[in-house]
Amino acid sequence: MIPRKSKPLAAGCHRAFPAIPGAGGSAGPTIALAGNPNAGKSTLFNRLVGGRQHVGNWPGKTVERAEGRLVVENNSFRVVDLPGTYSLFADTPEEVVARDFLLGGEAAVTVVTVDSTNLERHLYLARQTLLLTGRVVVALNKMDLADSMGIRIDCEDLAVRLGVPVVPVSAVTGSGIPRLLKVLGEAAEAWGEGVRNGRRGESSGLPSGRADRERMALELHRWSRDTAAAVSAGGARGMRGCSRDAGRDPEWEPSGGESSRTAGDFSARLDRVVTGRWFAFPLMAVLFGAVLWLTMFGAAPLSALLDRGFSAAAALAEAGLRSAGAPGWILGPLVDGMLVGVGKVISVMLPTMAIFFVLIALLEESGLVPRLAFNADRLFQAAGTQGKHCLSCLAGLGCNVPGVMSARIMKEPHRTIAVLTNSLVPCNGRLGVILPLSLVFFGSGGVGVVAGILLISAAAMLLGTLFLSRVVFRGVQPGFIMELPPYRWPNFRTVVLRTLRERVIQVLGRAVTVAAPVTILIWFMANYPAGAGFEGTAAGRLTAFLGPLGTPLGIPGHALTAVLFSLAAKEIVVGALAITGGLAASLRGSGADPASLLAGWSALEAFNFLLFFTLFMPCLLTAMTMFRETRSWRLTALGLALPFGLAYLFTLASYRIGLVLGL
Amino acid sequence: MLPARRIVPLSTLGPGRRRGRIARIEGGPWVQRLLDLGMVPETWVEFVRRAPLGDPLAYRIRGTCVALRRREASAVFVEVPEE
Repeated sequence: MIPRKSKPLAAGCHRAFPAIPGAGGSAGPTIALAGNPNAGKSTLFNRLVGGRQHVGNWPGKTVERAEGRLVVENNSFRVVDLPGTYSLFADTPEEVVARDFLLGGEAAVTVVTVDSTNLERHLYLARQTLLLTGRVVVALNKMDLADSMGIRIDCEDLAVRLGVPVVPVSAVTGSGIPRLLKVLGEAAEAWGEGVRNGRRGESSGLPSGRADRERMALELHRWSRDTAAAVSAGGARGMRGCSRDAGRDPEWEPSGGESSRTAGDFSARLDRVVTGRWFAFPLMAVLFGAVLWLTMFGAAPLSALLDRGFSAAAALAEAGLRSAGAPGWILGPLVDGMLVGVGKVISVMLPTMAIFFVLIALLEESGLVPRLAFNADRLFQAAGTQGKHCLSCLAGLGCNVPGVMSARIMKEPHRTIAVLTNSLVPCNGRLGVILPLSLVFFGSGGVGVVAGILLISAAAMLLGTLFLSRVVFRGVQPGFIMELPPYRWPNFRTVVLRTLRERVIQVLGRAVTVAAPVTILIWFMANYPAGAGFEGTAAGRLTAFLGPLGTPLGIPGHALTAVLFSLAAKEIVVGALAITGGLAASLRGSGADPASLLAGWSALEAFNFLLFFTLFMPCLLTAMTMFRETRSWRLTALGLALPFGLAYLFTLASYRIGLVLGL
Repeated sequence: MLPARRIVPLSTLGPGRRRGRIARIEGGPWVQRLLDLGMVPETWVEFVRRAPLGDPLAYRIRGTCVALRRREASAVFVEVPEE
């Protein structure tokens, strides 16, 4: 399958080894992975490097960069996962990153992942890549699927036509991977020499002008179509519904004739329900509800278990320190920081985020998530953004940090708008507080109260979006163009591992590093200056200061202080309420009775507190993420001011209305 | 004998008349993205469905299903048989 036209490859060893754990070592030659979205590139990347990978950003860009290490026969390679793109010609950040990397000539080999069930489309990017670098190996992915569909591809013919090696693989089942590794090893050896000898930065055949690019796109599409037709055979038409070919040379027949034959196909039938006029929105509501329910109730026992573990550890540490004669100003903050800043954040966030984001990733892999964006686009269009905004809101329900980051799937200005409004979507941290508190206070009406607060949050989010799109980011709107891939069964193992690694662990690590120091600070504020009772402490003075500000909102001053403290991590608000209410001297006193926290409050006060707390402001970690994503202090400040302003307005309105109604 | 043809915006395809062959795309910031998705002249496009609220619209092109808004679909012109 290595064509004669390509550079002769050095004769490699004929035994192929699966990847073995790399032992550090030198960086070795670089292998770049390119491919369309939905080509199975990330599955292939995971297959190649396994757990030896780390995820970061491309320098100066908010585009995710994954890098890993691959060892074949004692040769170590650096594998760089380029962003998935349809093309390398346009100027989206993803395409610029991929193009610049390939033009830089850093990669000894570039693997283009091609979906063999949709050769025509995917060869387009392969051909473009070949314009930037000749050092390409094509991985013909999803061969198992192509086989089952009866598609046969003449790999040797394709290799000759492309002038580079072509290896059929299935990243999901792992078949063909040893062969790919062998070809990669040989190619890197042969081509890597050229890189070392200063053959960097091959001249690009990339057209610069817009008209030239369009002409070239047309040419390349024709080539892809002809090549795909020449090298492949079979494949029952209409098998994959949405991915069924629209027909290469159909007759000019009256419309409606051929399309009726696709009716039996699975994706199309499912789409008729999922995106149908009657079922779409009820189904979405059920889906959201189910995800939230599974998260809340699935995580609760795990959270309780972890919480007990941390409490036991803290009790041990406290006893140990006390017997060693440690003074209170060491003991208190240390135990508080450990138990609340680390323990509470981990025990609440870890199970919730793990369950929630695995569920979302499964929906994503199955192909359902793009349909959500398709259904919701019209709604978000009215608010000034687009359907993909709905997806970043969905992520925000889990945690606003990934919610803010997921705005990357959109173009400007929609991306920035989604970044700044994401904190108005109540994250699991807040839902986990308002649900039990309102159940305690409102009894069986609590669920209705939470549903009401969720609806108000949604209204606030859309209002904030409308404000930003109409007032702050006026101008050309980028519109909505999105692929709807065929439905498929997600690969559970890959999804779970990737989600835990890329989302949960990363966010959790950062959450702890932010929350721990702030909880220690809160301990000092609640206990110093010492000896004057709560009123004399820093927290007490803050409460006295904030009191008048809470009056128009119908919220007691000490509750406002607790909301302010919850900027460290929303979960700690219950403990903070215990401190500022004078019921405890440290955050871990929160384990007490939640009922006592709201004792003596009116229903209106309790509702307004919950509402204000829900909308108030992003937590510190989310604010930091907003800054990282926008690289602008002004926009970050706007992202803090906007929810605060909306929280104030909505709570003010709620209090006024409540007073008029005589609540 | 070839049947008569005429050129209409892509957005006018629907459940009644589903298929057309792309003739040209009119200017706008979306042109390159549409081209990259395979919306190039001489390619067949087939209407798949409308979103529940009427917009966006989904089309099958070169083996994939692509959703775009009515506004973008109005800038793509397709050849259809005369009725």
